[in-house]
Amino acid sequence: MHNILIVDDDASMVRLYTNIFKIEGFNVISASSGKEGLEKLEEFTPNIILLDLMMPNMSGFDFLENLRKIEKTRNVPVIVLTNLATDDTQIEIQKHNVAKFLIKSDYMPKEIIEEVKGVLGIRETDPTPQAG
Amino acid sequence: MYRVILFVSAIALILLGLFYSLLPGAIEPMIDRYIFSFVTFLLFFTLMASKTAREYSYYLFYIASLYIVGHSAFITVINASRIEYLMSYACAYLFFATMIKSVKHLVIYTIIINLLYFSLSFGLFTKGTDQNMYSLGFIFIIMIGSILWLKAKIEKDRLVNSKVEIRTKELLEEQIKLKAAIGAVNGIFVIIDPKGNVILSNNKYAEVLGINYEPRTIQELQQIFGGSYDVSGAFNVSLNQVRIIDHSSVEFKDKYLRVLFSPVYESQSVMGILILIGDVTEEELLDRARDEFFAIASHELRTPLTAIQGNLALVLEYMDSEKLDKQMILEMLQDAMSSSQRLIRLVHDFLDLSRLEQGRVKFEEQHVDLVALSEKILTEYSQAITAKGLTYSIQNKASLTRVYADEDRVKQVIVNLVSNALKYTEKGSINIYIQPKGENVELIVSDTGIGIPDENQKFLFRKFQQAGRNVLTRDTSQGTGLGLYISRLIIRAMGGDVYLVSSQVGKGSAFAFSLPAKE
Repeated sequence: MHNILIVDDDASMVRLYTNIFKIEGFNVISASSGKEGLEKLEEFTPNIILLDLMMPNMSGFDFLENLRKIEKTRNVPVIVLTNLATDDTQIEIQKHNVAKFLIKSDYMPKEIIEEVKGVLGIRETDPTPQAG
Repeated sequence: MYRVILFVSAIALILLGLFYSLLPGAIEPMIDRYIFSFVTFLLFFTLMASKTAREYSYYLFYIASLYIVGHSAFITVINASRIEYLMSYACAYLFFATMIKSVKHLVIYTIIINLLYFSLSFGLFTKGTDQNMYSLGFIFIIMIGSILWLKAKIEKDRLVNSKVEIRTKELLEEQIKLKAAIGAVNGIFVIIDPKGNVILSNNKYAEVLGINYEPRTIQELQQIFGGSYDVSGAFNVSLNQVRIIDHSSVEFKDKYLRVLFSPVYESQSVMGILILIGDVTEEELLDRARDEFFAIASHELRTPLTAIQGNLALVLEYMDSEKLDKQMILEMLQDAMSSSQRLIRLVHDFLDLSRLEQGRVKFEEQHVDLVALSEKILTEYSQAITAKGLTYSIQNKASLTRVYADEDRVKQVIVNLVSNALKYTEKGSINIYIQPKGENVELIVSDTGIGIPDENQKFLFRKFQQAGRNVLTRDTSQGTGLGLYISRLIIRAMGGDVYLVSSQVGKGSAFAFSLPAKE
């Protein structure tokens, strides 16, 4: 079973993505802020992180910087999932080690699952999942 | 050329004097006449040859000296009385020649000396001799010639001077026009030559860059920017490649500058680079604010749409599957529902904002009692307030609590302030104070919430701002970030204002609005 951490300050988004991945059989842990996300990381290491960008106090980018400083989470793949699609964001994202940069509203639940599986290296036809 | 002629003539005079001094005494009157004529000719010639009064005085000095030398040779052979007055004539010239400093002096002295000479010669030789009459003719010619010539010379000088004056005046006028023109340029205007020296500048450094000295070279200009911007690099590129360079957004301290480099031509060669530096902070901030507005607006619209789309997709997909129980489906539909409402509120806010900004909102003004209205609102909110464990109160210190305003709009503003207080307060109380403030009534909504850091307070009334400057750390969970901005538009349209009274991190905030009081 894959562990997934969802970091998003919007409760409706957290509930949506939690449901999507629970149905798909993931072990989902969620955090409503970057700070909470980092705290959660102390007790468990996810296989992948879904990260929002626009969050109070600690933005997604700040979270990423902190994440990469911690030894055990340094190489955890991160999918940035946001509705903030500005040029500045696109430029900033290049500076960070991010697996994917997706616009929330452009992806249906199924497509999000495919993206996550793609990053984790899980193929639909392959019954034995490979850890990313 | 004139000098050579003068010199040769003077030598000839000396030689002539020496030559005749060796001859027998019978020839003496003739010699004197010749010498006299010759000297007179020399004086006349000198006058014509001199370009300035000073030059003439030097020549006079020279000739007079030679004349004395030449005559001293005759002392032994010629009548002593004749020698004396000739000597006096020469000495007078010699004396006055040293004093001549201007054309005016020259004319005056020439007249004085010649008058002196005539009176002397007529006094000494009352009978008059042909020799004296002969000299007299020459001297008259010299005098008239001198005066006419000098007059012409003075006229010419005056003409040249007046031409110079006119040109100088023109140049001054040009300079004033140029200074006025570049002074009117909004920003720094400086032309720097290829060697890097400033040729022309309107010295607006204090205004644009906040520095109170004027750089004289490109290096000094670079020093102002330090390492933050390579102004001399761009200068060199513009100079070497002879092209315009336009840097539209250069960050300098807390400003944004536009820096333009443009080659300046003079008869097809580049004589320098014109650098224009303007302060574009306002434009830049407006641009950014507009970009930010669209970024946030689309974010705000996308988020509830994502929730609606995602939840409905899940329900449709798994409605009959075991993976979803009835409770989960209910929750998903509720999320879709509340997101729809959020979207509608947002669209409503956008439209309200747009209409308020364009002044297209009609205010139905009537008497509104702020105390009664506040009580009504707090009663509506009482459940939500007490649910969070908070208390509330209304305290009235004003005798006049009525305003003439649109009741629904005033209510909208109070609701905005109260709901903000409720959102950001976890313990303590929310209090409304009504008090007089000059001609106005002031309504303060005070809370004991998280407070707003000083550095964020100035962003409070901006569009989409929730007291955070960075877009990335906006708190989108608490609303659209348009509330205070809309409230301010409403109250200002009714002749009042909305403002932050005070705020302290961890202690709470107090927001207020004031409106003109009405009996």
